[in-house]
Amino acid sequence: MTKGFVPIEEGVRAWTKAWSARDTESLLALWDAEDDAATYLPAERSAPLTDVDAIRAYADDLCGLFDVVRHRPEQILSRQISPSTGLAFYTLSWMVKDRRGPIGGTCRVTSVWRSRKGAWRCCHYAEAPLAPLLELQGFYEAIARDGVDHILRRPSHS
Amino acid sequence: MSDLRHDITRLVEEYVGYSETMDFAGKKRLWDQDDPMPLLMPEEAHAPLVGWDAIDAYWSQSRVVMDSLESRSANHTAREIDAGVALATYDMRWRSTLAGPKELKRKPISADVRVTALLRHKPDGWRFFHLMEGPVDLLTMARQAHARHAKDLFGQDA
Repeated sequence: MTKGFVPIEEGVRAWTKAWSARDTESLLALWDAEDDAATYLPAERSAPLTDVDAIRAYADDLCGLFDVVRHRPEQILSRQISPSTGLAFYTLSWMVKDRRGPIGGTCRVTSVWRSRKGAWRCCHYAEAPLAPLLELQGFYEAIARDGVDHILRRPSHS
Repeated sequence: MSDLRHDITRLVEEYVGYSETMDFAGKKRLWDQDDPMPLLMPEEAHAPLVGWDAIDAYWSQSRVVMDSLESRSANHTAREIDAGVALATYDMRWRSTLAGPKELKRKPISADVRVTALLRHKPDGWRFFHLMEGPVDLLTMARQAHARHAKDLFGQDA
C-alpha cells in the first residue's frame, strides 16, 4: 500500500453502498469520468457499457425498476498494481425486489481502480456469474436437500 | 489495430488455442511466472484460484474431467492502463465433451464467456496475471434459450 492512499476496499464498499442506496449520483462519483475508455460489464449484458451516459441510464433503469437493491461485497482481494492503479476482486451478493418478490444471487467481480487526486475511481468493472449450468444444478440440489416431502401442496387439495 | 491490441490479440489466440490439445503447460507459459499471487477465475469454479498451486491443480483436473475442449476468441480490446500493465477484454466460445463412461455417448456442450484479463509486460512480451471468465447470468441465458426456440419454431415471425 502506498502511503497516503486510502485502501481500495473503501472504494469497493462505497460502490456497493451506492448501489444499495439506489444512489446513481454517488455511484457515478466513484467512476473515472476522465477515462473515456472505461468499461462497465453487468452480469446480464453480452457487451459492456462504454460511456458515463450509458452507465447512468443503466443504473437509473435498474434503480427505478426495483423497490429494493442490495449489493454486499465479500472476500475482497485487492492489490495495488502501481502507486496509481489498484485491482479488486470479490464475490458480490446481490438482491433486488419488486412487487413480484425478491431475486438474488452471487457473482464474481473484477474492478480496476485509478487514483485521482488521492481518491480511487473505478475505470473497469466486470461481473462474472457462475456458469448457468452449475447455477441450475445447484438449484436442483437445493430442492433435493429439502426432500420429497416438501412437495408444494395447494390448499384446495389438502 | 494498435500494436498493443495486435500483440495481445495474438497472445490471447495462442492462449485459447492451447485448449485444443489441453496444453496447460503452454497456457502457463503465457502467465507472469514472477507473480506470486496470480488469480484465475474460471466460470465453473465456485471460488477464485489464487496462487500457482491452485491454478496448477485446476489445470491438472481439467484433463480428467474433459474428453475434448476447443475454444475461439473474438472482440478483443486492449489498452495500457499503467506503465507496463494492460487491461484486455475478449469473448470466448468454448466447446467441450465431458469425460464419462466410454459406453455412454456424450454430446458436446458449448457456451460463450466474457473475459477480463490483466497483463504485465515482461522481457518475453505480455503475460497474464489476472484472468476472469464470466458468462451472462442464468436469467439472461434462459431468455437467450427461449429466443432461440422462438426462432426455431416461428422463423421470420419471431
